[in-house]
Amino acid sequence: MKQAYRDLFDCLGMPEDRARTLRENLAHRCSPEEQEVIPMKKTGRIHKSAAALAAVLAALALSVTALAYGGQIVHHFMTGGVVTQGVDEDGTPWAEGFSDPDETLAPIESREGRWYLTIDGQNEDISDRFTEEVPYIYRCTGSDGLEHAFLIGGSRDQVGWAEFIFDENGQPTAGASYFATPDGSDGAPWFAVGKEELDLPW
Amino acid sequence: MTEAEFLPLFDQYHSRVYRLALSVTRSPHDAEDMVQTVFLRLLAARPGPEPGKERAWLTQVTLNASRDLLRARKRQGWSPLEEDIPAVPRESLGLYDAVMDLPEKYRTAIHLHYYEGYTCREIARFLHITPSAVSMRLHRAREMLRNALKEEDYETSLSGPV
Repeated sequence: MKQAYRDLFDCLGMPEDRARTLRENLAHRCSPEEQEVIPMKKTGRIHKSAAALAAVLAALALSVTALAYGGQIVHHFMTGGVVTQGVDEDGTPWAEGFSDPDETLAPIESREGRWYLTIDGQNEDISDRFTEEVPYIYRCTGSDGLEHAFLIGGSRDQVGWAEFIFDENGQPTAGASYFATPDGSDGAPWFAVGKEELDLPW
Repeated sequence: MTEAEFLPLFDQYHSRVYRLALSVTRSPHDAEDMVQTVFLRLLAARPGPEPGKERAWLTQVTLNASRDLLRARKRQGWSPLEEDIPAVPRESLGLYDAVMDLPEKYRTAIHLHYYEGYTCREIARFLHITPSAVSMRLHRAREMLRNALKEEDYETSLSGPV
């Protein structure tokens, strides 16, 4: 089947005339003058918090908060959400977060009454390493080359988590959180301790 | 990125980007847009991909952009136009239809493995899931493809190791 699949997709190339036109257009952008106006270039941080997402998942809440940059940048959370950031034509910075509950990948998993860290290929029993007051913190480098940090905390019955992304300079740039509380509130003591530990501005 | 640096990358990889985007979005028009989007991001990337890691970088960006498009379309309730299909050889129509009928997560895993030749571990990194989850998706995708092709009496020409 693999060979049949390859043969099929070998036949499905981009039309040559369109590829040639695109190649020429992109080549023009390689000049220094053109590069400067490509609207995806990061122009510096704007300290404006932009709340974005409110996806209800089984009476729990998932929320994303992001700082807005000039230009268009998309962050991909390892737990499944995305943040799109940019600047409107009138110069207003914006940030939009989105997460499909069906696609959300929790960094933890419950097995036989124990909680395991499963993100980033881990399989570690962390049940005794967090409480309602103190989170377990895991850091790793995502496939985007950026540092991702995970906070996990709560009681055995109500465990919450959060993921934060840090930019190339080590500055926090986006966060997604999931709180196992009926109203999705973010006032859990473990979360406050974790944010302080990570030196987050939110 | 200078023209001398950029054009060889475009020439080498634009077809791969197009095919991966086509497998995710199922739309030739969207796949063309994705080629433009991905290579614009390459031009704008600061820093760009490390030398020797351009293919993985382009694969990740193509996946991200294509899946973002699908999510946006899902939110908008958009569905593909009937006529938005590529020119597929007649003898491959059954396989094409079977592949494109797979849910996106299976379609993507199959393409990364069958066409791009990535391992489960490599695909896991692209999709932010575990290697065992990739293995499971590939297994289920093969099953669904076999069943779909069996219904179309297509399996004889596709028998052999997968």
